[in-house]
Amino acid sequence: MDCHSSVTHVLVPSAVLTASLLGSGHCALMCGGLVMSAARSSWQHFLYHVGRLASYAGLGYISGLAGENVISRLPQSVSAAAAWAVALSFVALGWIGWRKGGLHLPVPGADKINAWTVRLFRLLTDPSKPGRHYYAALIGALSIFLPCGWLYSFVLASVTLADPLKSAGIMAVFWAGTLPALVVSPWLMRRVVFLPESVLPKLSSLLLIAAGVLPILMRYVKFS
Amino acid sequence: MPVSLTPQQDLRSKKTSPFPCDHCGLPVPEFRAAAKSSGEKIFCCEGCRTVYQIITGHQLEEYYEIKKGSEFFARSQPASSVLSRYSYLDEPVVKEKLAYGSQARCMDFYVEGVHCVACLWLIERIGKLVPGVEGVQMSLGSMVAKVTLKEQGSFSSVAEGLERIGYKPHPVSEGHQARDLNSAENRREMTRIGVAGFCMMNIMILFISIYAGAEGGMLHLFRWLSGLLFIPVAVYGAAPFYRGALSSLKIREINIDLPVAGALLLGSAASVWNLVMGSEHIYFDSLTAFVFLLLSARYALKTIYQKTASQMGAGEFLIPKSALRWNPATKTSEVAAVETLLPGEFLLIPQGEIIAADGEVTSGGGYADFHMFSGESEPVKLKPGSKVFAGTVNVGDDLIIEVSASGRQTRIERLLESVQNLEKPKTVEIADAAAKRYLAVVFAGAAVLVVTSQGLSFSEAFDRALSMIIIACPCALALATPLVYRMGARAAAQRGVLLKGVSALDKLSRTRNLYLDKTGTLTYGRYQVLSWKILKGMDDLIETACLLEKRSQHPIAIAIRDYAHAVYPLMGDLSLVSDWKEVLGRGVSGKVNGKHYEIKGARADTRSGAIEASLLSSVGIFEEGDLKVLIILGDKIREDSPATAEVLKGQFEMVQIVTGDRAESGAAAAQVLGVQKFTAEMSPEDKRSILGADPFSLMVGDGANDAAAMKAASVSVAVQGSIETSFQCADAYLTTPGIGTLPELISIARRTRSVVWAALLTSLAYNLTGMVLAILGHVTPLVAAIVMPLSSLTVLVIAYAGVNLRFKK
Repeated sequence: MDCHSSVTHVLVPSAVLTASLLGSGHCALMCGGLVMSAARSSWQHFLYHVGRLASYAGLGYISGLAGENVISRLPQSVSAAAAWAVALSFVALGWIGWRKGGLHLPVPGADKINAWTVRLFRLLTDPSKPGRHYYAALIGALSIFLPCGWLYSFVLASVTLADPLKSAGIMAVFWAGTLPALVVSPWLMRRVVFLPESVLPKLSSLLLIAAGVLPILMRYVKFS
Repeated sequence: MPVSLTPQQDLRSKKTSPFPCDHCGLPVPEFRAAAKSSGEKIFCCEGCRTVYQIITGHQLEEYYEIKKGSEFFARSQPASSVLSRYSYLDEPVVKEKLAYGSQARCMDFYVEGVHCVACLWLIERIGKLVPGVEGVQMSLGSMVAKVTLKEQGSFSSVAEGLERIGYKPHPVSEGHQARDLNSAENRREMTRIGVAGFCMMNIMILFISIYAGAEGGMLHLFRWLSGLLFIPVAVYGAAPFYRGALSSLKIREINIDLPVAGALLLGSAASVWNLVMGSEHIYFDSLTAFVFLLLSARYALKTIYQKTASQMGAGEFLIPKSALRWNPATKTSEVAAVETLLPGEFLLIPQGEIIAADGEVTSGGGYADFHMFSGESEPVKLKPGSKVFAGTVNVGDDLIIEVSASGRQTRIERLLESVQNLEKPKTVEIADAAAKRYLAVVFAGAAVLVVTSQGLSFSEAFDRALSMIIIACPCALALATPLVYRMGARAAAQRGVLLKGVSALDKLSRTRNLYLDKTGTLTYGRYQVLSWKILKGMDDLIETACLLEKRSQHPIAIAIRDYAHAVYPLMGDLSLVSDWKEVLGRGVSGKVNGKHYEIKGARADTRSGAIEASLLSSVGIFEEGDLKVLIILGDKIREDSPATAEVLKGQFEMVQIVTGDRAESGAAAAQVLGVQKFTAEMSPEDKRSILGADPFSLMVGDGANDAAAMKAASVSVAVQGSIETSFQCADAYLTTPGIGTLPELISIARRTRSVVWAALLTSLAYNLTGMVLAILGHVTPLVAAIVMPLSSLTVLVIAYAGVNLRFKK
């Protein structure tokens, strides 16, 4: 199993980093303005991203926990079936997403939740309130509540790692991939590096499919 | 759970609506666009909707503050605003050219300085700062903002407003858009090359380790990593080749993408199979190198092609690169590049300068030479309101003109574009046909090799076949040949020769017999004073003659006046003349300074010889009945004609003068030029039949008068007349009077053809050698992949140097 884990240790994080980097164009478009309103100085920008890192890693930790508990706390036969179920559902979701050009699952009550999110953020970014600039890190941390499918699909995929630390680590790698877009120059990077935003849904779908297929592959197919 | 994500590719599928997301600008999927009709904002995803709602909670000015105060995005000072600098955008002439849409209320601006979403947001809300704006739509990708005005709005105020908040707007006309599209395409190509290069280099690093003896887990990892890195190249990087091969199959014609795509697909399939099977015959390094080098070569060629294409227009060589932009308010001028001239601006054109754009004279006077458009070589008098064109020369006083068209819109550019003949040069056709057969042979050979593979393992035979196909690519044909012709055409344009398509060059290079028209081609085409001899006394009587001939329109009178003006620029006034009389066709007479003068025919001095006499007329100035001055006039042979004729005699097997004029003048001309043959008193039908009978004929003459003859000849060059009429029958047009540039044109044409053949043969030699070596097993696919583009490069260098260095100006 030695080569197998070395492959995963190298391949998976680099794949995640690349994907995150290439897809961060839309991040810049959607959140660029928010970043500007949340942070006025370099120091505040730094805080914003630190906040983001913290909550991304937190999300990863939780998803890894879920994966670990669901998959490994169950009896062997059930856990195998559960693993298969998760994997197949990912593949199915990914396939649907690929065909339809984006997964849009209507969640009941999503509008209400969104309204609260908007109100919360408005409060935090209100320019007239004093001390607003201390909120940079908080805003960054709370940005996970902005409905972003790109982020959520990575979180979902990290469930398959079934290890809270590993999942947190992968989400940190994802965070690193989004940095250039939001820090260096959104416009410049977008024109030079990034994939067209229209490709993102397909990428997300592929990611889900890979997240479903790869663990199975790793488990059952021996590499020579 | 993930809520909806961003929409699909808008161009490929119909699932997106034509509306952009009101937050990020990307296309909105159809199912989300329903709200548009009710006037609501639409978004591409929930995320954008949420952030938009957060941000719009705040006021516009706050964002302006943020932008200004944010040290993170600190920008340089906006250009100091001279607020009137955009006022020309309100001029009707300018609006006519740049504005579009219903009631011409839309105008596009390329906006500098936009680097983030907040900027976009600000610009789109400029309506809050500037009154009269209906809306602004901008996409970050193209940096172009579409401004729609309300009825009372003005474009100048919008432009000023944009500049005030720190963004510099440039009105965009059609040409800019085309250029933008072009550079967008170039960027896409560069991205493709970048991806291929990135993957190629990383794969090479991995392969070095593999070749050096990596083993076990590392070997495994490297092989699979290189396979992974190969995917972007195989799918994205090589896409143009697949498309080309597909279209080649569709139209059932072999083109060069076919072997490339074939090699790639075969190689990829074999490599992937071997990767999975654990065999060592994987070719990811060769294939990616192949793709990268080919893409780079094609891109390099395309940029050269585009550069020479843009310079091929007459504009490059007939219109100056810079002009003096005139500011009527301050009455000063500044140097401006011709590309930046816009309708409605003013230009100052000093005496003797070439006019850089089409326009209308607003002040100043003088004369301009319009012969390229009208065919008339007489300068035309200009006054305010007169129309002038780019490429004409101001031969009078300084002029101020108001620009009506510039760049590609000028009359001369549009004219040239309309007459461009796109037929392929015969040489290229021959080479094309040969290449198709060659490729067929190569494929067959490769197949045979694989099938028979005497004594070799299958994979070795496959290796050799792959190398063979890679080396065999006839890239020189597709890459270098068009380039050489373009450069030839450019060299010709540099010398003032306008060509009707590149096939003209090819046709010119095949001619052997030269037929020259006389009047206007070898001669000036009008009467000129050839000699002014004082027979008695000391006074040359030039001033007197000029005063007497001033009112006559006889060609001889005009010739005398021209001569007099050339000698004495300031002439006396007519009030000195009294009793003036003209006897039509005979002469003039009058009293000057009390003396009676007559100018009428006089006997020529027969000592000069009968032959010369036949070209001439002679006229004398009689003072009180006494012949004082003898003037000899004639249609003079151009100064440069004899020398040019000498050179031409060396270039052609036969040089002949064909003229409709009298035999004596034909003979005279022939003798002066040293040309052996001449035929005179030819009717247009005679000319046509002589030229039609000669398959290697080159006819040089007047575009208007010799049209029939020029059409009958194999190739023809026009030296006079308007460009429009000339290009209806001729293949080339000399903008400089006379035949002085003809020898150079011929040598450019011949040189071009020989360079093309040199390039093709070199490439063939390379390919054959390479293929033989590949068959014998001395060339691995990797080496083949590197060598093949190198051979294309060599050919490119030959092509470039062969024409450019030789004819560099």
